[in-house]
Amino acid sequence: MKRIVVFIFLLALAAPSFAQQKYGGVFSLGIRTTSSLFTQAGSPGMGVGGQFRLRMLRLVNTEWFADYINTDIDGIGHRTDAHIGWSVMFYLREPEVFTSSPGDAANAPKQITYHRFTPYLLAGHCFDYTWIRSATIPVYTEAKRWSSAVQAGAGVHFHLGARTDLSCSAQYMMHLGDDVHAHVKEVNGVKTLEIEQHQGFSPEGHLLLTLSANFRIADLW
Amino acid sequence: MVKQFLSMLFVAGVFCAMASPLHAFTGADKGDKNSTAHYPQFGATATFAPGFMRNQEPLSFYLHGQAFVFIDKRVSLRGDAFMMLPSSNDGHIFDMHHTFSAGPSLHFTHGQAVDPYIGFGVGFSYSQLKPTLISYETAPAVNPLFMPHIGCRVFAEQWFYFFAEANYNLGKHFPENHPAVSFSELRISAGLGFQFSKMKAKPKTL
Repeated sequence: MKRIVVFIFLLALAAPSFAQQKYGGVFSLGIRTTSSLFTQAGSPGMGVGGQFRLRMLRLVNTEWFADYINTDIDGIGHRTDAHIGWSVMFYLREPEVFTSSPGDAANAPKQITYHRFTPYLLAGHCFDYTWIRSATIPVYTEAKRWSSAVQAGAGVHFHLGARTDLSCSAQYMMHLGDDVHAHVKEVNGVKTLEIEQHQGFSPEGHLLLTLSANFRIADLW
Repeated sequence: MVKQFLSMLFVAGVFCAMASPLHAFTGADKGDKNSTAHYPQFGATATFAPGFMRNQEPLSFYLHGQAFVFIDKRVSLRGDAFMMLPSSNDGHIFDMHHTFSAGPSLHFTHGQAVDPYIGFGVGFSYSQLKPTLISYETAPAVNPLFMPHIGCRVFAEQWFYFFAEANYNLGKHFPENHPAVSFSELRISAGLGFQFSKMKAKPKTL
């Protein structure tokens, strides 16, 4: 944990050195809801979370997020995923348009408007916690895991105003830790949940679809 | 959960479709200088809201508190709290079901007396199943929710406004040792709210 804090601190210190004065430093806060698809739980999960964004360069933004996702495993089990991590967003085109009115002096400040849509690619890393447990009594089984994960995908900002954007993104997240998963077995119409945990590296992933609303609140440098 | 995903797509689509003709960009802000209506900056309300949950005969009633602030010309940020009233849950599957959410609203008009809007909120529910309806007691649990909304405000007075809106609360309750229970529910709210605004003139209409 100390290493993470130190890393974030160093990154924050280093950020001004590679940011361009014109674009960098825009700080946004946002809320998000995430659907988790194609997990081994078999059914989609739903989550809630928050994020902040710190823009570094003209075409590069960063997103720091936390998610809490619950998934129903066929009515007989629960899966909980918690993510905390970051992504680098690479804009496929510049979000802003700088315009000046006729008659303005050459050095007059230009008006900033936004393209309606700004598509982007994103990739990053996160730490995650997975907890799978049965939802039945008297037999209760569970498995937990802390692991690391990488994610990559694409998304689009829809600019609602000067300070607000709505973003949709799809990312595939691949876990890089122990394998934890659940099977649902049905015998004579009776469903049972089998939870398995295997030691050692086993790539396992899920697709995350995220809808977020973001509010630009400061220009830090 | 598929419903939740489809709902997310629907809300995102409606946002995009609505905002396209509205020119909700900074460059278009010049056009509203002549508006004489109130421009609400901040508002809050408290009211009662009935909830209609599928497969649940008794209605649930909530104390609904809401606050909003405009952060862009046609975008406001709002927070909602729904507290289930204890006397309303006889025969209901939930003994306790409080929800807290926050999110944006996109407004069809700007600076007008009639202000229709649409949006969504994300947040948490804090709920507990009623022990008499299941065979054993479960602990309260906190679960994510997604809540799209649509509504309209009427700014008729300097300090007050009237509003009516519908919220659809989407999500599942995950109690320990019990299968997940959907708490998806339609909630209707209406009432009087209090606002602070840039009060330069009276509304054009009403």
